[in-house]
Amino acid sequence: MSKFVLENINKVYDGKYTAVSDFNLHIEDQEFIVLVGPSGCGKSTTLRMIAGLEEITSGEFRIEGKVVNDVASKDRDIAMVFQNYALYPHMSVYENMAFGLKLRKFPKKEIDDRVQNAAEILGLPNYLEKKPKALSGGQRQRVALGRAIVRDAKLFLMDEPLSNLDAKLRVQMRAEIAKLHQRLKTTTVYVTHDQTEAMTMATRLVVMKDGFIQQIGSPKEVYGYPDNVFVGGFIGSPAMNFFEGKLVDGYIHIGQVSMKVPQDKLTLLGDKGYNGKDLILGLRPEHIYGDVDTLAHFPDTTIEVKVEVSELTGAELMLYSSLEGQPFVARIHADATAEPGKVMPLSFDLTKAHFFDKETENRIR
Amino acid sequence: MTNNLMTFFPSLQVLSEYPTELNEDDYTFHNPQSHTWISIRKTEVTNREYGLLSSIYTEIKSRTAVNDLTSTKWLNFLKSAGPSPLNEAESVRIIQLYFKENNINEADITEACRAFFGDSMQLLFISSQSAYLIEKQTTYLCTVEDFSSFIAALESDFYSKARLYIGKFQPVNSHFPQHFSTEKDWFLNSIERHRAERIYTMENSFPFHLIQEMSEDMKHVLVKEILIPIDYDLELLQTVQLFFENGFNASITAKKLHIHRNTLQYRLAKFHNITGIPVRQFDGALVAYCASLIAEKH
Repeated sequence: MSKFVLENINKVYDGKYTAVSDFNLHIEDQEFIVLVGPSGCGKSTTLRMIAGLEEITSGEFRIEGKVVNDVASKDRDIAMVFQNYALYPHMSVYENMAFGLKLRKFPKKEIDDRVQNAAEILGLPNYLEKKPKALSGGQRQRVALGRAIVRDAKLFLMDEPLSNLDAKLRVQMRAEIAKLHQRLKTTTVYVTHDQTEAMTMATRLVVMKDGFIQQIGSPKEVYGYPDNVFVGGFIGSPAMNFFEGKLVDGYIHIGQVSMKVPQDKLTLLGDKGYNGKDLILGLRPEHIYGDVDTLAHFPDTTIEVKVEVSELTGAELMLYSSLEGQPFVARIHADATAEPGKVMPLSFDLTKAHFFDKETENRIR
Repeated sequence: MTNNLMTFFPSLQVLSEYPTELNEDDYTFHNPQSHTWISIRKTEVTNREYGLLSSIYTEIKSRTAVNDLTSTKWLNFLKSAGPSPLNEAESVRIIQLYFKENNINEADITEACRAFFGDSMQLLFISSQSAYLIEKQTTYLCTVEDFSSFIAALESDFYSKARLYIGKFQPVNSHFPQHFSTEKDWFLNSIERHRAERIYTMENSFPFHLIQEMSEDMKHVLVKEILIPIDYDLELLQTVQLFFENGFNASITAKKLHIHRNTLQYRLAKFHNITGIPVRQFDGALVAYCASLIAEKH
């Protein structure tokens, strides 16, 4: 039996504005679930329904088999971490971490043990007497985590906890939270709009859009087999390239350009009745190659393109171009010379291609 | 059930949220099944009916909040036109706090407020679910981010959804109670109509009040000129709304919508083509924004 079960959850405000629709998720013990999607997709609302801060309009939320829809937030054995630290400026780090326990009338000795233990885990023993103002952004976020850890809750809920940090610190804290989860093994539901954060931290991702779940899966599954165009475009940076084309006699025709579709994919598309029909081809930037040795392996899918922009990111070069008016980006080796304006051959590795229905934008499977 | 009760008690009102202030002339009950609250004039209820209602519903009783002398002076000033508790030249603003749960512990909340704001705020309890924070106009003024952090701290420690309205600074003279009374109305209205929000201000509430006060004729113009031509296309409306709310910044708007800048430009152009209204110009954007709010209400 799953530890936390969300079944057919809906959230409707004022009887008309639907924030979350038919949300279904089974969360196993010790999982690190990341809810990811653009702003307004319903991820924070879902988290707040789990927390008990928002009422569930319909559906069931169960913890260890017991329906908790009407159980007060304080009785759900959860701890929350927010984006804006939520620290009391006039309390010391120690007092900040102890406050929640004090409100719950924990004995002083137990409060002290828990705070000291959390401080040890988070590397904060030397800061316990300091006020939040004297701490860096990363240290403040650690105190915020400490406030959750001391509660020894069944479930951690984190709502964009790293959004206030600069890029470098965010990467560092990302690793720290992952390490913390490995150590404490507390089941965690984490909300972010940042797909990189989601990919690197999650045991399972829940991709959301407009209140609906788009896909649930491990980061590898979601990246490798996106269920629809939205997921393919949202997960991955740079985003997946999409080309509208028509499948005719084993070739995908994108405007005047034709590329041969590998046999296994062709069989599937044929079986599903797509021969002669419009569809969407999805290809990740790393599956478009520019080095001479590789080009020879893809004689049927090598196309001459004009470089519009090239960005050197270090080991790689992001090459921006377009195919029959449809923009795309290729992630190629930094050794390649690709000045803007240059015409060069690129190989499109269609063995790695994804095909989507043009109308529904769902993956063809 | 509620409809039937209305035939017996014409004054009955159904509330979808816990009432922020309990009227002493009314009985207020909570219906746990529909999770609504009903209030009925006491004069309409006999003893027998009161007993019956109490056995079906949970009565919400007004609790006398314990306030210190300074707070009492403030309440007297705000509610009963008493003398100003401060020099009339001083300016304050009132932050109205509202908790979803009705079991807040005043001593604990007081400690939390002091730990958050130090001695710069005076806290007044109004009911078991609402309080006012009075902030003097000094060199440091709390920002929306401060209040957002405060709400998050309260939610994580007290496990209760909290909402607040940040008032405007005003000298504490005889006009202040009226000014505050208007802000109270705005807060109540905002809570009723914009439940997903947690922090309300005059600025973020104003557009909704504007639409509420707008005449039906004016609304009809926007429906006819914009909403019908675009067939109430929610995607287009959300795009123009966010474009306006983000100060016409295409990059931020595109990022928030998680669309490419070109897609945003395409949608704005499409809106312009269909309606003839240039949303990149202020007057066009304002009209389009109002139309999007009317569509939201529908």
